[in-house]
Amino acid sequence: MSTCVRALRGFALTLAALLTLAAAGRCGDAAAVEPLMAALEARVDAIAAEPQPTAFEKQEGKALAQAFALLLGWGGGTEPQDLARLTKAAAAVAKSKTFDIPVLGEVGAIRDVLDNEAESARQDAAKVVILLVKPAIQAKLDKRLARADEVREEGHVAWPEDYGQGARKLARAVTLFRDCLAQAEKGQLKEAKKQPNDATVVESFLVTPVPAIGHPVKVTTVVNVTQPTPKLTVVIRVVLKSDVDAATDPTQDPDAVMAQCVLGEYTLVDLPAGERSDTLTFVVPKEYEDPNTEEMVPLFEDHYYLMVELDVHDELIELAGATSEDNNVFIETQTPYLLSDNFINSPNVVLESVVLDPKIIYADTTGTPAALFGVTMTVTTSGNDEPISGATVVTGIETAVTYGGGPPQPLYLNGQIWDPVEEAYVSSLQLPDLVAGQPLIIHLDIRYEPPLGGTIPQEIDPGEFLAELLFGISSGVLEYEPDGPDNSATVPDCTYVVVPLPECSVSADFGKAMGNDNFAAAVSFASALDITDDPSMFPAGGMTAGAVGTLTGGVDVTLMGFELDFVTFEAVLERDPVQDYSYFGADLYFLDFVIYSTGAVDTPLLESIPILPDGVSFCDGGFCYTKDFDKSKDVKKVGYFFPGGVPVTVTGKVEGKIGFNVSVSASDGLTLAGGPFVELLGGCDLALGVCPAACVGAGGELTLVKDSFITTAGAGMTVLEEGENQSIDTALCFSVWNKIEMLNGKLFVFAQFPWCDTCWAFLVPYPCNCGFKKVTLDIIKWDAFVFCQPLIDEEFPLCCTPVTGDPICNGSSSAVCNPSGCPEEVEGD
Amino acid sequence: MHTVFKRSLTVVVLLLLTVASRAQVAPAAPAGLADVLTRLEQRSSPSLALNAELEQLLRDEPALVASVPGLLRQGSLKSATTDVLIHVLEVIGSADAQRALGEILADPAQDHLDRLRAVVALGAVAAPTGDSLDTLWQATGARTDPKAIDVANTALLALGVAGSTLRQQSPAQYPALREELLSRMHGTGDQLERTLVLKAVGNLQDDSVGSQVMPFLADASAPVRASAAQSLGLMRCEASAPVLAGQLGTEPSGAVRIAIVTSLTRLQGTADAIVAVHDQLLIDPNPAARAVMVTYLGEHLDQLPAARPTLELLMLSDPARQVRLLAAKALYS
Repeated sequence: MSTCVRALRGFALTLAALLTLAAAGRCGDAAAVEPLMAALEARVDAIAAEPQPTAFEKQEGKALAQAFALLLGWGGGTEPQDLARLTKAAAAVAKSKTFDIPVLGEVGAIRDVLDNEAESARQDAAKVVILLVKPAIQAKLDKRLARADEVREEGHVAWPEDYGQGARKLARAVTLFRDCLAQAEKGQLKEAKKQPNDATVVESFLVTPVPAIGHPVKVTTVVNVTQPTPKLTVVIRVVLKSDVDAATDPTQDPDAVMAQCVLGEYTLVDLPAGERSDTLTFVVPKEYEDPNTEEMVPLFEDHYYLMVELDVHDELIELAGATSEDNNVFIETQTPYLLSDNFINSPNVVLESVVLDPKIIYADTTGTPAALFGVTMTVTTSGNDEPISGATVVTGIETAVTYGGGPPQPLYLNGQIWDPVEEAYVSSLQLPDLVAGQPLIIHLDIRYEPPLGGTIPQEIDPGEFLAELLFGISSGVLEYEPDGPDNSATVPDCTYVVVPLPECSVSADFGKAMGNDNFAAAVSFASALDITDDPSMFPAGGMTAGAVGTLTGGVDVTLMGFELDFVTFEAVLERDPVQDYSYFGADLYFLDFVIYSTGAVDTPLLESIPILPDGVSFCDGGFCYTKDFDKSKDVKKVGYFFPGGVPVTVTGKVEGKIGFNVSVSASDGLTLAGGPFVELLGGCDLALGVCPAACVGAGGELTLVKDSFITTAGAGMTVLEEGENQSIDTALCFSVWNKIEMLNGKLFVFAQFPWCDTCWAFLVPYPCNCGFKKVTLDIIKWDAFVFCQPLIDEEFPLCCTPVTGDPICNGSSSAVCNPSGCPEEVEGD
Repeated sequence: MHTVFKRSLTVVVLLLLTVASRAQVAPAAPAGLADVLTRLEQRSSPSLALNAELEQLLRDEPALVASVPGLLRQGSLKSATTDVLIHVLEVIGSADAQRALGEILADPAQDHLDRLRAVVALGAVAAPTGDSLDTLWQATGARTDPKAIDVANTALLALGVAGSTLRQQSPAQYPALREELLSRMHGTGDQLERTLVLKAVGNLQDDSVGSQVMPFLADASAPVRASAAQSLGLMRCEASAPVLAGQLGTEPSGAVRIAIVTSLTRLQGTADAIVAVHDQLLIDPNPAARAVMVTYLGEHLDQLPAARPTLELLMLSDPARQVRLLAAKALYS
């Protein structure tokens, strides 16, 4: 028998032994391992005796070293069910050329020990040892260690330099294992042993039917943990099928590195014990880092396997079974996926979602929605190298209403969307540039046109009708649509409420909320002016009537999950022209405390009051009142983030100015001008660690909300008397302008930490491309929403409130109302 | 004595620096502070970073804090800048910072808005000192002119806020403040002052004093009754819910009814209260009161399903537009 043939046979034996051992060791069966161990030891002796080992024998030596490492770790198992699993696994490995990834994971864990001499690596190794070595087989382990010592000595003395690599690694492993055992014996990891956990990938598959390079794919991954787990990181990769297949082919270069491309990483938090399925979308990158050259190379069209790795940062202490620390890598080798490059330059714009909350649209009997409202729209883009400019969005409402009690008839309303650039409502809004991989989250403020150009058969019946909002995006380019048309979205199950036309009252109502759980603002504002004959409003009593105005506004802030009533403003205004009584009162709240209160009362006795309230003066036969107030306030709350798996504590802050300015005059009529304003910024602070050991930070700028409402309300009131009838001739005017800017900017947290990619050689993972990795996580990121428009701007020459008898209307009243227009800057300096 | 000498020397040096730096920057400020103030004056929009820089500077060099009242008194700084300075003193909250705020609020020569800001700030510091409370109490007694009354009223509210802080952090100091406020509430003959003290007592957020506030719901003055109702809501006095609900049907003032329902929204929704609001909503002639009641019922619709038809009726037929819209919102939000 020639040397070459002997080497081939020896290598084949070693490989088979290795694979079988892998399966056996996975279950820790000592009886099954022992004969193979003996055979391997014989081969070690034989190779060591060769004066000039062949290339094959050298490779065999490496394999032997790995096998030894495996044996050292496993040491055998004792459970009856392990034997059954061993038999099954060994048979599967023998028949199939596909390799068993959990076994590779075990090898990888050993390699981690072989390639690291740092304390932290030994800590990891200790965990592996505790996992794999049971007290019952301590004697066997000691024997293996003794044998390994002998091998080490032989390697140092007799083996050629390039041949002895495996032996040296083995020797290092022995030393490390001993250290680890010593640590384990000291009980340093006893606590970890008390709470064994095991994380495994049950299955993982691509949902997207036609996956394409440069485009999103949906991946479903099912993981299982045996204990409740606070945090589990998951990395999804694709690996070239041919590389994986070659890894089991002994004729291929065992040192070849498998090409792998990271699709994405995500973190599962607060996992209960058991299985959990997640379907997430990742973009298949157009290029990846070549592990051989460390250069970015294009990802080419071919068949790939999906590869999932759990607990990437080794945060989980898995001690549940003989293989639990090392079963975190999973490759689905049954289903290769063809990643196509046919659409690599074709963009795909997807209207992911439109959110309206609450799902209600108010309209009057002409069909015209009575109030503006806003939606939050999310658009994703993929595939394009250059941003897509000029994409537009349109909207409409589809409903069915009744006329005069008849059957429902369809009604469609075209929508108009606020264009912050043009500062006008437009039927088709041009979106910001669409950049691949950067979701566009945008707030749209919408009003709907009167139906059919303002003509309907007759007034719509008051009531409630089911409606659907429609949205569509036109990108202006030819798109790749793997899941069919995806440029439109609907908001179903909305309620279209038709209410009667206004009568003796006017009001404005505005509400808008934007943000996420970390930073959000919800602005609300309402004002109303009513003519009423409620005598109880007027302390002089008797048969009287007048005007009642109310004005409320506030901003609720969400900060790191905490919801806070940051600021509230409440004002009430009353005027009774018969009794010549006027009242104005306003309170400003911060976090549910009244921090400022002001007001004025005008009665016939006002002139006898020795000291007029601040801001009050006599004018036009009545009184005038002007007041400005503002004050900066802030709140802080702590939040927790995990950029790249690194825990970072962040103190979020909302700080800014709250206040109001009002001007009131009450004489024959009544006018109120002004309103509340806020200007709040968001920020975050944290204690910076020392790079590179614990380098974390936060930054960014965020305008949370900057809003000012200017109400101009006027009520002209003339008291009319005719015989027993007394009534008030009234005229109202009402104008509310709102200037608002919300959520402009971003806040982020980052962490920089030592990092190695995982590369694969001859079925064995090893760390590569080591260096520092900086991971940035956006706490919030939002494009500005800017709006300055009248919520209402109308005059009502009404005669609507007789106190007794029939209305007497001679149009003698007029209301003084000068619409303010868009407010100037919030700060009044 | 040595410390006093050092402080005096520091003040002299700061004054000299103030004079020396006047020619270099817009605000005449001590060196170091002048640079930050100049940038605050020149900023086109607010900056948290700049505010934080100012805070850090005043923390690192506490002697600069004492110069702030003087800077403000000069009147050369923009209102936005003085607002930031006062806010930073509130955030720092040291004894020196509180002393500076006290100087600002007590000085009639200061800008009136800055005095009000200083009052609010002093009431909101994390650990109010005895001197600060004394300063606020003194301010409440100076009711000689409209602006002094404005400061006095705001100081009463600030004492309530400070009391809430003391109740949590310094229980030994709190009873004296609470008793003083309650004494003022009972003793004052000034209606306007009583309305402010009632709100200040509400700011204590101490429902144990609710029984002393409830009698004011029967006061002859409608503004006092409204403030009493508001106070009970602010302090989350759950025991007052039946009293407030009971008064709703007999209260002649629409403004007070608004205050009662607004306070009920701050309390847990008891069956009696919800039914009382529902009954009143059907007959209340005041549109503003109906608007508040509709919102309240909407928040408790699950506890009183019978309110749904009422809200549906109001949505379609209430004469006030705001009530119709709020009814629709209550039904479908």
